[in-house]
Amino acid sequence: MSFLTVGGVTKRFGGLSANDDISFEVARGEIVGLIGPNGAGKSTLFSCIAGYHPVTSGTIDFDGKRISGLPPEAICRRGVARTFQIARVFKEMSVLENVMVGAFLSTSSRGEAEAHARAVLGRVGLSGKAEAFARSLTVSEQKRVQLARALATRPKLLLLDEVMAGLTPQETAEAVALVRSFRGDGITMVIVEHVMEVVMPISDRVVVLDYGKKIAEGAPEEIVRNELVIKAYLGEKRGAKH
Amino acid sequence: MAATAWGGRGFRYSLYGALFAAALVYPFVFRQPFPQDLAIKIFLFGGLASAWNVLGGFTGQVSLGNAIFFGVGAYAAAVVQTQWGWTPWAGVLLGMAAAVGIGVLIGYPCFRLKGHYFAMATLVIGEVVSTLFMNWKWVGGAIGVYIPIRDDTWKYYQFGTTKLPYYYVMLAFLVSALVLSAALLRSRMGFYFRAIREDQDAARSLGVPARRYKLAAMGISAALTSVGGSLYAQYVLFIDPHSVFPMMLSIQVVLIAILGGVGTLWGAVVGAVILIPLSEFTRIYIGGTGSGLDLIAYGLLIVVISVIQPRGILGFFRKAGAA
Ligand SMILES: Nc1ncnc2c1ncn2[C@@H]1O[C@H](COP(=O)(O)OP(=O)(O)OP(=O)(O)O)[C@@H](O)[C@H]1O
Ligand SMILES: [Mg+2]
Repeated sequence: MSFLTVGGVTKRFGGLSANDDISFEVARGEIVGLIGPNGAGKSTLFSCIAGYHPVTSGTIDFDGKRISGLPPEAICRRGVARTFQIARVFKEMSVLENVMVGAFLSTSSRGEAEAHARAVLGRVGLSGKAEAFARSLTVSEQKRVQLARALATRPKLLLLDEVMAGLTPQETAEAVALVRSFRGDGITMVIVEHVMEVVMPISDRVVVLDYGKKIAEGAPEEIVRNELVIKAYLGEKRGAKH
Repeated sequence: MAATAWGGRGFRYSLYGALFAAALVYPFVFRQPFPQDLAIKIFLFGGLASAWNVLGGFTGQVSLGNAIFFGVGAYAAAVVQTQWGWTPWAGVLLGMAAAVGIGVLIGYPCFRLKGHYFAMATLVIGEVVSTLFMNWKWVGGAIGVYIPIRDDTWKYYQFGTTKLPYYYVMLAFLVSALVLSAALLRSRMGFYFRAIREDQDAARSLGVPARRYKLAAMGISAALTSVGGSLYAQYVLFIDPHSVFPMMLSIQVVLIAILGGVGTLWGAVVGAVILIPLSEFTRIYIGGTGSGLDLIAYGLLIVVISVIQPRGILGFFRKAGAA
């Protein structure tokens, strides 16, 4: 049974269709990779699912209920958390406080929120930075703060937008292990990444977008052999990023 | 909290205790009307700036119309006496309720506006409200309201022979504003306020109903400001639209908060301790009210502070975020 259902979602910015009639499903507990060249519409689709952008047409259902049309805070309350591609931390708050904002979703007690936030920080390896201002962190640390913040809301579905971009190979390996471990908490995930060596091994299934349209969907082994995908990425040499 | 450099809690609390004790004995050391009046104004403006800070500092919604709430509180206290013979304390409560209502009415449409537009909208609404009171005959129109003079009484909160009651009540007003702010900062609501200020979209993505919390911040700010207005009306016993709805008051509370340190707990107090005496002395020694020289002095000070320490005076005591 489908946990997240994206049903014919179209998102237009003026004349541009950033998402064009996209449909796919995600089952509970699955990790789905969402890939595509720059400007394919991946982040836009996340923003539609998370309620940040209203969809132009189409529907999104989560956990048996319609979520398209709801405001972002209501969607988060339903159990969907996302990260932003360009880290958006609360700069003038400490790392701990950043994560506590997420933790306050499930408790109004400051003590409980702090304990939960500290546990999450430990998990993403940021305990040492708990008291630092978020603005003082490096970009990759800020991305981890975002991840911790999202995780602190105890999501059922996590939308991760290039959380591993710009990491060293060592850091990437750690991040992959971390993301895998979320699965043990029963968190379903949709992951946007550009590095194929990262997405393919952790994804159960992969959805490919190009120019706002879904051009392929399937198991990672199938996707790497798919003509359309190869053309979108390699044929036109647009895949390079950062 | 991460943002303080003054180490232990014990040290902080003894400092607060010492400050509070000093404030309690001050009127027995300075028995003249002038220093007592000065302190009363500092407490009033410290409280008002602190009230502004809940919305402008914590939540990042810069209001240039807080005089609206001040005036509403002042009129509520005065008019319940002249029209119905009630005690001004009932006016305090009525003023708070009215201020919250007006705040929500303003906030509901205006919170859709971002940044400067919100500030501009509140500024304009402030002028509109002032004009409405000018033309509202029932509350005295442009002439204003004289509160009937009585012998010293708590019931009607009037003291012609001593300033001490005004002094302590205004001190209590400031302390309440600070205690409330401190409690807010530690609570979920305070975290949500600050998250909204830092990045509203990110906050919403974490389940923060931003609109509702901004309205709450507006309500708290409005209610507190209104109390200040009521207390002021009882202190001067005569109010008119010019004296309680001035745009200058809206701007003054912002300047005080900015000078001291926006979004901090003590900034409003630090700002008031510096700016209120400054404006009183420039008024006395350089020119009468309305010459604008006190404002020039304000302006200069703000420019100097924003150049050397953009976070306000309390910024000097702030721990640099660990690199
Ligand atoms: N708010 C917006 N207003 C107008 N156009 C937008 C907006 N957001 C995205 N777009 C456009 O929509 C298209 C899809 O952008 P999107 O950011 O979703 O792509 P992406 O797949 O995430 O790309 P990348 O890999 O570079 O992150 C692009 O052409 C982009 O310029
Ligand atoms: Mg993107």
